[in-house]
Amino acid sequence: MDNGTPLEQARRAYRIDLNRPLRPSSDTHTKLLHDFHPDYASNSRVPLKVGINRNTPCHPQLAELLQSESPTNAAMLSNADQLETDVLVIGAGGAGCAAALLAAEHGANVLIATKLRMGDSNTIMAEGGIQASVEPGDTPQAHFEETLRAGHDCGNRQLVAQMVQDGPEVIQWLMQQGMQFDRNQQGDLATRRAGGTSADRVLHYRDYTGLEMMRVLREAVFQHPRIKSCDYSPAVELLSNSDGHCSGALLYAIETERHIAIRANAVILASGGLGRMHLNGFPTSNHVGATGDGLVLAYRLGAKLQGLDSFQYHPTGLAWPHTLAGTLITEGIRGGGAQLVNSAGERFIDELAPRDVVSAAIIRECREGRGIRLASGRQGVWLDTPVLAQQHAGMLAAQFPKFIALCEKAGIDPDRSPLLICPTLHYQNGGVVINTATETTVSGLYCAGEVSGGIHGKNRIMGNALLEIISFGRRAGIAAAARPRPAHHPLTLNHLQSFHQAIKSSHITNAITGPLLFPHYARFSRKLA
Amino acid sequence: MSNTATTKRDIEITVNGTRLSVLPSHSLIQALWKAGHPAFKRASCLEGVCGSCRIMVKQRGQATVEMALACQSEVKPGMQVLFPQHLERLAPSAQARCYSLQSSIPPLQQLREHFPEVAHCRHCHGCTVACPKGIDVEKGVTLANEGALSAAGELFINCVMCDLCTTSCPENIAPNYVALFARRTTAAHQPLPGNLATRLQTLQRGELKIKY
Ligand SMILES: Cc1cc2nc3c(=O)[nH]c(=O)nc-3n(C[C@H](O)[C@H](O)[C@H](O)COP(=O)(O)OP(=O)(O)OC[C@H]3O[C@@H](n4cnc5c(N)ncnc54)[C@H](O)[C@@H]3O)c2cc1C
Ligand code: SF4
Ligand code: SF4
Repeated sequence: MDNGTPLEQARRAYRIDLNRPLRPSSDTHTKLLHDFHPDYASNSRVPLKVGINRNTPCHPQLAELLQSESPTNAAMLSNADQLETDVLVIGAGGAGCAAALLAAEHGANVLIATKLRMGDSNTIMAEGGIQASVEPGDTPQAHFEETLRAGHDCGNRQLVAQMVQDGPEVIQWLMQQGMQFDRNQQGDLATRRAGGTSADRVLHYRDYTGLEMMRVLREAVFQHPRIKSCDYSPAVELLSNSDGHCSGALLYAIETERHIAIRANAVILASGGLGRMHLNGFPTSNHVGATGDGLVLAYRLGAKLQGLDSFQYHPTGLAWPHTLAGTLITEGIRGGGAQLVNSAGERFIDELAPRDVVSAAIIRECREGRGIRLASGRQGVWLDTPVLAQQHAGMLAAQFPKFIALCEKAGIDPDRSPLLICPTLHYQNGGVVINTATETTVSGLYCAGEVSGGIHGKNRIMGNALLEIISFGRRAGIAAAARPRPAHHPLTLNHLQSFHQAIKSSHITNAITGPLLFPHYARFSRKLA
Repeated sequence: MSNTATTKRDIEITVNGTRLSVLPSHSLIQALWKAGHPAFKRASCLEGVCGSCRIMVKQRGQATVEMALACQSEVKPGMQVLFPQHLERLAPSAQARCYSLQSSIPPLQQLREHFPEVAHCRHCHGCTVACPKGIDVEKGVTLANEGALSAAGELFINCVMCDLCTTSCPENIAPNYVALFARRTTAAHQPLPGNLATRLQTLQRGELKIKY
């Protein structure tokens, strides 16, 4: 694409303008989405050919991964070190830690295994906050309806109802673990508004909500006498028993290059999202470990998935400088009054419209020649922070220290200069099908957090992911701890064999093996001997 | 502010004793990835909040070693980098950290029991110098020692738990864990916010059920 205004020229042309009108547009939200959102493009879905979701539409890159062969074999399992636990939690983000804590509180011995350091996750990066209806004018009912509406009425009503009702108690529990929240002068919880909602419902701790949450939960996990942790040890396969139930997992310890077979009475999958698959070539806001491993593992074992063609592209990822491309700029900044401005100096969309619509509008501006072009050919639009700074002096520094640190790193003074942004791959809307007790369609396998699906429909509102991970993470811990103990079966990889047969008979040829564990550019390779 | 388009000219750096050619104008993590070497596993968020990619760096011509985060450090010709292994194991043992937030023992007494070394701070600034986030760590330790737990914790808002301060302390004080204790007890002892308390009571009465 060589349309759009070059960056330097756009920068010179930029003026602070407090009275920028919103350019009138005849495009409805529906039209914007259909014409410009990546999910709606004609090449954005293919039917799956194997597995329980056969014929379900799925993003082509994800389909390739879900239908990939596993490099794991029976010899690795028989040579593996052996460990046993009541509950195995896979993933140490917010969902995994909450699950581990509740399972342990309910009497289970817990092992929490994670790919990177304990707490390295998307959770730790969350900025904007967590939703819970606590303001007098707000109700769980409004939270329920707005969550469903933002998701284009594709969310599961029972799951959403349970989650929004859990909200206030989730906040109380987090405080009991020692998490701080911003408060106003009266000592009430301070609240922000999320795009696509009618009430101030986002609770936060500066723009470090996830960091504060993760510091506290990680420490609580370390402190619990019934929880053991195992870091730098990704799960590379789930294990099944002769009934096809989930009975544990095979881990790969990165440091020792050895496999560890974990036998567990119940397994909680909390391995997060897939931003690092860079769908459609987009940059991402996600941490390095977000490679969709949980979906592959669960699918091979026969767990049903849903919403595999729906992803969130967050409107404001940093586009320049290129070394920081994809880094998230929290929606809170737009909530505070920053505007989106194209190369012609126009506002072109209500900044707090639903995220999918805002992203589609940004893509429209770029395609139609009103974007700002980088030397690489990538395009973006301005996030006009100077208008916010003029209207609320000191707000950025007081409420958004993480954002200020990013600006310092980028060499940008947000009080004077706008930031170049473009949509960044942010969130997996779908995932493993669960019920209100976080059970999947496979006995013994529970799921919580971003890896699961059903809550956000086709679009998620800010703050609902952090609520989801704690609400469902806690429930997963309780349910897994209560699972009756089955008879002692040998651990097997039988489900891999049948999956392999299905791939062969569908004549799928695939360049990749799964799970990915790391993005290709991290050049990780697992020792397979 | 100029557009730092990558030049193709490589620069030489040393990582854990090995000399490598990498592209300039990149963070250390990006540069190592692009050079395909070594397959480095201790990076996660790439934006300086997870605290996992901690390094020790000696820049060319400098006498001192600095502590930093690799994702936040731009590669410079001649820099020597050490990714220390197993820093986790330097963190205080779970035993030392098993204070209770719900206990009736006053927080200050718990601090003395679980972190007795705090009283031995010799004000050497080692921790403060080490901190890649610019936190006045030593002041936090001093405040905690004086019993000002809430004020101590307030200094650590952007602490990423990289443990570099802990690594640097000659008295085996673990300032970031002391600060986390201070922050958590402060939070757990605050009265419930009014708006939250009211909403919890309403829900407990079985009101505000969802209709669908
Ligand atoms: C930059 C950013 C900002 C965000 N801001 C907000 C916000 O303000 N509000 C909000 O509600 N949501 C926000 N989100 C979304 C939200 O943070 C995530 O959806 C949520 O934290 C996911 O939690 P989780 O526990 O399910 O997964 P994660 O927190 O990602 O944790 C997954 C864990 O599993 C581990 N793992 C992955 N694969 C394996 C494997 N094979 N074996 C073992 N372990 C594995 C990972 O290393 C990680 O520890 C944001 C996301 C990002 C990226
Ligand atoms: S206070 Fe210590 S642990 Fe926290 S960021 Fe600074 S050096 Fe790292
Ligand atoms: S390094 Fe240790 S002794 Fe030195 S100032 Fe910090 S806490 Fe005190």
